Amino acid sequence: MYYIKLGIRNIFRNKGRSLVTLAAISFGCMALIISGGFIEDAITQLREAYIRAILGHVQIHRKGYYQKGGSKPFQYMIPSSQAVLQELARFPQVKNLAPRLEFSGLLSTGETSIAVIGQGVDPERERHISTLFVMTEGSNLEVDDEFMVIVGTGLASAVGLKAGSPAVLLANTKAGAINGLDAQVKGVFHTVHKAYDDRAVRVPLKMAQKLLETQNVQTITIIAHDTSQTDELRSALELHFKGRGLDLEAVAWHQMPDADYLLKTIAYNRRLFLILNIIIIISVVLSIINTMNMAVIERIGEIGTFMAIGYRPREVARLFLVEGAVMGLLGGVLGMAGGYVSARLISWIGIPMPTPPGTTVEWIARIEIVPEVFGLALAAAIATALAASVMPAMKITRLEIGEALRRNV
Amino acid sequence: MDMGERQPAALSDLPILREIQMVSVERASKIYGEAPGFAALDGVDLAVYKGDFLAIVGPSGSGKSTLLNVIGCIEKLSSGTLRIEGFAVNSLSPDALAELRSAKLGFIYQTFNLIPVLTALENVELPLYRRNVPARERRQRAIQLLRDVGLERFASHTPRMLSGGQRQRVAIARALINRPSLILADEPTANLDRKTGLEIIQLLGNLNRRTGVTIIFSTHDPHIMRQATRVIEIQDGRMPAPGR
Ligand SMILES: Nc1ncnc2c1ncn2[C@@H]1O[C@H](COP(=O)(O)OP(=O)(O)OP(=O)(O)O)[C@@H](O)[C@H]1O
Ligand SMILES: [Mg+2]
Repeated sequence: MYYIKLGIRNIFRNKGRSLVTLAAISFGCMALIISGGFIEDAITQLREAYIRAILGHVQIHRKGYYQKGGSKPFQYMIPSSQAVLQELARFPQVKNLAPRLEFSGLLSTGETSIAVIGQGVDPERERHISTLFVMTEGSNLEVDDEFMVIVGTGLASAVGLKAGSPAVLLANTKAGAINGLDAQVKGVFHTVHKAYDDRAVRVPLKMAQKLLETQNVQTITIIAHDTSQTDELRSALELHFKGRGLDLEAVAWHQMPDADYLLKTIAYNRRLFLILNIIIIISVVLSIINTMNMAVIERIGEIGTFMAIGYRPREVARLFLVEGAVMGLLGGVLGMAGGYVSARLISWIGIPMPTPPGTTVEWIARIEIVPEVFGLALAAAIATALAASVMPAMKITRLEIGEALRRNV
Repeated sequence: MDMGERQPAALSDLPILREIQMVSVERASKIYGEAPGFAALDGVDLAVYKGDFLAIVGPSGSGKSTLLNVIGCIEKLSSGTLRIEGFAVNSLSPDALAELRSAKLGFIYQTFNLIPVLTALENVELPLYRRNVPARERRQRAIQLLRDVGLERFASHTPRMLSGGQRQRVAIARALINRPSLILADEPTANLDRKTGLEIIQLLGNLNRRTGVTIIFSTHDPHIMRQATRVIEIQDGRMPAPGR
């Protein structure tokens, strides 16, 4: 206890120097909190943009769809009965769900044809799934639409389509024939995923089923109440399917092939944060080492006194370690407070950001308040200050007491 | 002084105590620096008896501080033997020496050596922080000692707010808190004016007479050394008249 008391008093002894060191620690802390919050926010925004426009949290398919569904799409159908949807909706994590029918086909404008990925969607249900799906032109599909399509921005500009343009959609039917339907472009959309916008066409589910001559769907896309419920929901569904002997699988967003780019971006950003952390911590360490070194050198006479009156070298060294840790704690707490305030402030203002690579949207960066990052920053501050005090404190254990005492003049 | 069981009598006069060697130094040398080095102590022989109020006198650089540091187990001898209460301490580890100082010795310095961030009271308590003395008892002992040196009112003052004489009184109280059997005072009056210096040395003298605690101090002031019960001279690290 008195070690802490002594530590605090010694910190306030050289106010100017301690202030600089505290500032270094708390700015380091703030830098961690802000950069961590920034990166976490970027990750969250990007992830949510993928989930809430393309992936959903969990998708349900017939087992094996990802392995073989591409070549034999019609063998991996599931009936899109209301009963199935209602059964799934009973899971407490499920917020919304919608059936999708996916196909590859050709979109023809009369002059050119282009290979597309088609998605038949239930316009009403899909509205609650694809909440971050942005229409740049025209409008989204509605319940009564029959022969209407919406196309991605990249696709629209590649073949010169606009809202109102006529187009023909061609695809293989279940029986193997080629079927074509006349349609009108109702709107142009974009998502966060450029590769998707370059190829995607969304059509009303009924039109897709007519085109493919099927009554089924391939996918049921589910949005949970929160992204953090994803894995819990997936396990619950898997358990349910197994229990019922159903030939279905539940796939989480991070397991989907389309999430590959997203996952790599997340990993890349986290690595960036780690490197940033190391740089910040090193500069804080150097500042603290310097301060503690000076504190030890200045107080050599005093250290001699402590040892003369019976303190072991290790006990005196501990005094300086505690002083360092207290400094780290003070700086860390200040840094957390400063980090919180500036994160709030920056988020309130918002930083307009250019489009990230591989995506098509500009976005407003905010600083997410991440409790883990705050904890990390405080722990880093204390650990860093403590570690930086070790070397100066080691000096004490090598000190000759008589020599040290002669510094008292 | 509040030393409980002891009676305020001139204990150092009791013949029996004259027989007990508090400190014994035999053929002690202390060489500083690389060989051949500088001999700050050069074959010193000295016996200090329980209850002694001993002055070590000599010109500047004669080795007074070195001798006190050696007796105080702060500096190691280059050769020779040091016994405290008959126990040879040469071979003890640094930690054991620290324990010995903590349990048996008290130190007073010319430069006072108080800890500036601690109050007078906390400075007096300081040697006990590391020992298992309950906080209440620690505080009571420290307050009593401050009262004994006439500084009760200054308990919450930091050293900077005290005069030189007051600082030295705090240092004396600190040297007494562990109830030492030996107090080492290196020129305790050198930084004080004559009157204050005399007061300080008389305070130590009274302490010695009342409690029988052994005190060794160094000085080169004739007025101060006159207060001692025994005076030993040192010159160039040697003792012309053997200290036995
Ligand atoms: N660490 C050291 N290295 C080399 N020489 C030293 C060292 N410490 C002390 N000395 C020398 O040893 C001699 C004795 O020093 P000491 O401090 O014991 O003298 P002193 O009698 O206390 O003098 P003063 O009255 O000035 O305090 C001096 O000549 C001093 O220069
Ligand atoms: Mg000296």
